[in-house]
Amino acid sequence: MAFPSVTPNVLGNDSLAAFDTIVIGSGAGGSAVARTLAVAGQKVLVLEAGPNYFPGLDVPDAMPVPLFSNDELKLQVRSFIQQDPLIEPRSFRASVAAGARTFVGDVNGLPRTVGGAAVHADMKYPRFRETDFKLGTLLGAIPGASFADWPVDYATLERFYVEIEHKVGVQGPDAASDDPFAPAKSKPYPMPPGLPMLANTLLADGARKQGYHPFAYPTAVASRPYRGRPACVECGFCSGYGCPTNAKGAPAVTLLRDALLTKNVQLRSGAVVTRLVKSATGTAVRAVEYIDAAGATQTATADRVVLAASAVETARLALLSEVGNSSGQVGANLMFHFQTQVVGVLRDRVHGHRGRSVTMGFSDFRGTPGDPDHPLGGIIELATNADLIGEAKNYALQLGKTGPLLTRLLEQSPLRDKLVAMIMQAEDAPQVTNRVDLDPALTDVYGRPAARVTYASHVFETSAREFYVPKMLAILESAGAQFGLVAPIDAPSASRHVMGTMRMGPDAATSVCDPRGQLHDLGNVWCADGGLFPTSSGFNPTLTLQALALWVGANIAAPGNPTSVLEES
Amino acid sequence: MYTRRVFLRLLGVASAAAALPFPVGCGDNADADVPLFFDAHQWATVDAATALILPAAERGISASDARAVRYIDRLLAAFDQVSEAAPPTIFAGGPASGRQPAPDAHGKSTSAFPPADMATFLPLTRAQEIAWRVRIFGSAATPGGDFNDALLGPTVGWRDLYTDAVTRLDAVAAATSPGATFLTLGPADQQIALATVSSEVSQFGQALIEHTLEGVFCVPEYGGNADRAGWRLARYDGDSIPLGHAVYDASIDAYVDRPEEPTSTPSPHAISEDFDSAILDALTVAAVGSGGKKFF
Repeated sequence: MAFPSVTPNVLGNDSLAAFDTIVIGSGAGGSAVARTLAVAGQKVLVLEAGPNYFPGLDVPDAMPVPLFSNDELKLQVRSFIQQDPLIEPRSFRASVAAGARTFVGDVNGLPRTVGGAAVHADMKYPRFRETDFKLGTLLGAIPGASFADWPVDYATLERFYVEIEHKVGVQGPDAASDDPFAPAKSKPYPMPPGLPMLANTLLADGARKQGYHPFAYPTAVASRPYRGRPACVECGFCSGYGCPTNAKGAPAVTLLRDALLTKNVQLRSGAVVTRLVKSATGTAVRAVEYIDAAGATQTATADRVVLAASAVETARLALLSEVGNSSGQVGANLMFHFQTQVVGVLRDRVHGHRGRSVTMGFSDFRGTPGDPDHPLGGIIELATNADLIGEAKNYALQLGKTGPLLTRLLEQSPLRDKLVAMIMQAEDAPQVTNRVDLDPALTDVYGRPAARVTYASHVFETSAREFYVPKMLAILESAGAQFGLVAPIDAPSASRHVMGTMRMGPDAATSVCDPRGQLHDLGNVWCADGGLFPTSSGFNPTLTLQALALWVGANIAAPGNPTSVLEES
Repeated sequence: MYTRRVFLRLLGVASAAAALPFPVGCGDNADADVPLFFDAHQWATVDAATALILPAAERGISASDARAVRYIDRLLAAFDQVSEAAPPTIFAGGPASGRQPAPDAHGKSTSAFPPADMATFLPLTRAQEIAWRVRIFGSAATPGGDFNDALLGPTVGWRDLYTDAVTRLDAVAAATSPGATFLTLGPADQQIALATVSSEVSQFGQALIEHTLEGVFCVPEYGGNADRAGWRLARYDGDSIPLGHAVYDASIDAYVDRPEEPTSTPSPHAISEDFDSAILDALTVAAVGSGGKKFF
């Protein structure tokens, strides 16, 4: 039986028939590139694998009314936005020696929707630091790791950070109350912080007592009416949920909507790309094949192609198409943020189901390159647990409690209503052996070989975890917690911060893309997503991903003068 | 869908609210306490099993009170009454339920309620339809759903898991006591029978736990959480759009917490009971076992 699609499959200018550029992926990176090229006058076709949950996204003068809702079942259980592991599974193994695979299912899955992976995010938008772009030099050779300098530095990206912060609308602290370790900013955040969550305030007090420096987390959520979007009402359904009010500055309602309104962009949703078709000489891509929403195979052509499908999916597509891989490095150096979670149980209720999921953090545990007394960890998010169904399943399936004790746990709610949490988003050392490739037997519902993740942690990040966990427990004690629990290291990683696989660098033998994001092997293909990252840093990646994608797009639109495309600084 | 939404958006929330009153919760089948998929015996058996997972305690609310069985039945029947106007009941609409009003400029509740979007289910994409048919009917019975069966083995659908489990629960009961069914057993024997079948068919045991808890705590549009029993049990606010928990008040250029359900301060009437000794024991074991601590 066939059903009508959620919304029409073509957005933007549906009369366009010839295109200068095809952008694969409509998320954080693709939207930044599409907007930049469209404003510069190019005709752009955006192909998005997922459906459109923003009806009216291309209507001028009014914001769309999203189909997201305060519905944990739909968003967190039933994969409304998330890649559904039943029809798009991935496989995992810790090493080649472990065999073809040891797990099949959700491996770092990200949303499949118009607006991309960032739809699920609570939009934490810190910048990377100056030193994060120089870790190859600052750390020197580390056995088993492949740290490298970025081919672009903080000073070059700074105005691109400003551009994104103002386009999407970041709320954040002023200079006086900012993170003392924050990098230099040429322009303040466009909005002040919104309300802090009670659970965050209590933990921040504990952190201060231990000598650390908490601050209001920079977040792309409107705390004031901003460019046609409303201020957040703190509905509480933030991390993992699409925003029901458009207060989140998600790519769909900011850069992508801007792009669609230029009339130079056409977006086709439900378009699952199956292959990049090489030219006769093999030095360019001449066409993109995809399966449309009705299941028919289609072909699109343009002068150039930008890959922005996320680190895992972009590498998978390059491997499926056998392009860009003369170095053998496509898929290599896959990184997640190495997440350490330490949670406290208080005696009082702190209602973590109200607010923006994370409103404060501190970066004292980011550390200093090369200083053994301050190993490189990452920013600490002060967090909560907002999800009731998730809490209940945790007691029943992880702790194995059913019957009267389960009911009493839910009534007294130690792991939700009385829970405070710290999540460290730590640097994950790049390793050539941590990689994405094609599973030899597993496929998705479209018949494409599934992505297989081979990943094992390096002592670089596990030793940082061991260093900082006792300090995190001490903060909990200072915050008045009755219990402190340390979440185990998960394998496969549950991190949604996915980076590497299409590393950018000057050397075609050790990197896939050149310093401006163009594939070394191909004359007309660029990458503009987290795949480019040579290192992961210890800060949430999306702001930097967008700044970098904007920089890639600017170098296509204005070669030699990329800052000429900037509008906000 | 698209046309209606653009129309509503152009009208704005205030005008759309002229269509009040909206029904609380949802209409038709989700609210009726009758089976769409199960037969009467299966319904009663699954109802009793959910109450073993989550029985009544301090607040007197069990999974049966929340009608978890109705949620499970509606899930298994999600594709049974499908038409272009009535998509499968997998994804409830958005952004609002119609249970919460819009705030005024200072964060106070108004009498303007948005449409009950959640009462209208959303169409599935082609791939989503395959995924949900595989879950409910199994991979072998779903066209296009068996693409990994050669590698992973077939996926047994939830319909078969539940109907087979009811048969098996009765067989275990009859073996315990001639002529008995699961429903005629006493609570202790029911517990043993459920544990037996759940360990024999672990997929059923896991599905029953997951579905019971989803049915107790979901938004009521999916057929569970009757009279918000689950949310009362957990003292949980539920969906809050469009009211939210705080509002930016332009007249004072600052955020204002909702007095009864604040974000940044303790709730005015929050009850923070001490943990039961069994919960203290469980938390101590979990904390110490994880490498953490009991601080006091």
